Amino acid sequence: MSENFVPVRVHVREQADEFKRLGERYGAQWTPTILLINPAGEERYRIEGFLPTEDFLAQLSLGLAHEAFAKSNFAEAERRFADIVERYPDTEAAAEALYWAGVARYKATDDPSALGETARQFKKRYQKSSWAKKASVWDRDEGSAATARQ
Amino acid sequence: MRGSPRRFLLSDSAQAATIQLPTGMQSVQIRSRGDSWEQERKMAGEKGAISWSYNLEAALEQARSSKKWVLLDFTAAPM
Repeated sequence: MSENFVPVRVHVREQADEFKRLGERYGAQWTPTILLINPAGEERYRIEGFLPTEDFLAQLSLGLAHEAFAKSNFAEAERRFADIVERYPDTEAAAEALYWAGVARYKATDDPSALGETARQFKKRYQKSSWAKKASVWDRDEGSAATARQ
Repeated sequence: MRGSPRRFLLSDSAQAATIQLPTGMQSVQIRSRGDSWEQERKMAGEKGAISWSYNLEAALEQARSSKKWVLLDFTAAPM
């Protein structure tokens, strides 16, 4: 974790004034709330509520992957999303990561087959996730990617 | 953490559990204290648990100089 983050804690009781100040600044009203903040001080990802360690680490990785995607670094984003699926396959984040890995691959290559392939992967795993439902539209024909080409 | 057990459950009454994950990548201790949970993580390459800062402004400065991000944890866990 130290490779990517500088960890900071604000305690609801031990640092009540600081908790109030930063809580108002970032809209944190519940603990645990964990924010990924870029060096400019901007919140880029949020985790609310306790998560088991694997899920927590997967969510942190999702935050970094989404940030790469938001910066249009699609090849890096695909690598990060795919890594989440491989390393944390039993977490809820994995289904989301599988979905966005497909989107990122499509964005990086402009190849609609990336979406169809992702939809087919969802027939084998995470079938009951909302992400499988979202990807199902890509399985009709790969031309449906035209709708996603935005 | 590839190719090895990843799932673990703690019963509601569990007070402590230590899980040693394989490949030396991570060891995790989770302890129940009252109504909150504390996690201590020892990551690969780190000698100890997370070293928390308690000053966001200083952490942001450090993040800028080291090109890292800040992980800000609003917590009620025992300090």
